[in-house]
Amino acid sequence: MGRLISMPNGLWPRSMEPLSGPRAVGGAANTSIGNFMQTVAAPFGGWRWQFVFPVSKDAKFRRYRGWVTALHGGANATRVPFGDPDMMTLLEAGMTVTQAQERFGLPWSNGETWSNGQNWRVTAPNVPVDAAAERDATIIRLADAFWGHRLQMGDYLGFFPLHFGLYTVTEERGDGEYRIWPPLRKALTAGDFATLYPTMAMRLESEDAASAARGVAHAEEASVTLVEVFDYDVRDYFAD
Amino acid sequence: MANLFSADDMAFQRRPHIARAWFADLDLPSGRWHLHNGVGRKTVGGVEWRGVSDPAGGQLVSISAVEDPRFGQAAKIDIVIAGVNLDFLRSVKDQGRQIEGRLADVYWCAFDQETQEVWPSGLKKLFPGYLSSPKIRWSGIGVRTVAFTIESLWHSQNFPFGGKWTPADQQARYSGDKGLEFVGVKVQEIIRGT
Repeated sequence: MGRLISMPNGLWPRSMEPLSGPRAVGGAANTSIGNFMQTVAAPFGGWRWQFVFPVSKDAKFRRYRGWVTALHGGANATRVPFGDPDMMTLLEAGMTVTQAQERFGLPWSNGETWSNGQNWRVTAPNVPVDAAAERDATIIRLADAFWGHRLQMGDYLGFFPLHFGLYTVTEERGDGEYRIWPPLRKALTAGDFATLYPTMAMRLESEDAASAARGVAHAEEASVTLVEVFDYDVRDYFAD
Repeated sequence: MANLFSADDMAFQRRPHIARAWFADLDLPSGRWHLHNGVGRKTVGGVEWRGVSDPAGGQLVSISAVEDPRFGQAAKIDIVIAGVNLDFLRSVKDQGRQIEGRLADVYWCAFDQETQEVWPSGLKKLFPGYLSSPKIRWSGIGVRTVAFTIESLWHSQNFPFGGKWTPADQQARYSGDKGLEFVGVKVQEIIRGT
């Protein structure tokens, strides 16, 4: 029934914006005579993002409209690779690469490129997880390798293998221990790795959450509102 | 896990920000359903509860204001389920009779907003409740909602002590007392000259 699809190659948003998510459920505020405000919210948070795709045409727009149609207003989920434009530099991530290597990538060990003439891209290394953690936990520990002890507030990270979720560091607790938000969508085992390139499963918020307007010369900017699909829901509902 | 709010709990609730959710333990013919009004799955008190809101912050299920179940107050909670499919409507029609009168307990719980950890006092049971028979509502071609009410055990005790200030109740208290029949009645006195 529901399936998990990948974003087409080369399709990247022009801008992305986090929107208020499910914490707004039943939200309220009480004000006393003395103007003291008490706010009330649902505790269960989740990601909700709006992506704006740039003006496009030809193959790019075909891929975009195909992707949006395949999502069927929320019936199917999509992998969203979260390329953080504000990610720490490779140097900060514990790698020493020349500018040329960072820009053009690395060839195979025999000096050859891929058949399309492209090199391997240089990405930040992965860091092993230092301690297992339950699902719903918010404290994680990373090993002291590369950037494992160098994360700071606001850094995005994810985990693998087979773990959908985007987490952001909200507190440094020292020695590779961090508080993250949202809480873990899947338990971490000692054999897992952390990555700076998280992948989240998301689906369209509703039937009208995506647009694909085509003008005379090119397709206009299109915005898409996606909501997070939790890891366990991916397995239950989108893995057919 | 006391159901009453202790002094500590009350102090907790004076905080500037409270994260809270409602939980419903429904004993439906298809099995026990553990639902909460947020998003996602959450284990509280050793039971996994499923969220019934959609992730956009809108609600698939609306829960009316929850009344204080005190004596003389017909405390009840109205629950409306929207966006249901055909199978669910059929099951409601088939099992409506069986659903009526089944146990439905409602709980309340506060959380830490950041970590989503349960507050120290755990789940607070609002009242032992029963399900009323579900009502299916059609509006237009597209909208189908199913509404049911959770009544508290004390729902039937909705009467005031000692009766009301009505002529009937006054007659019951003091047989033959017609005094209250004249309360609130506009009396027009016509004096005719002879």
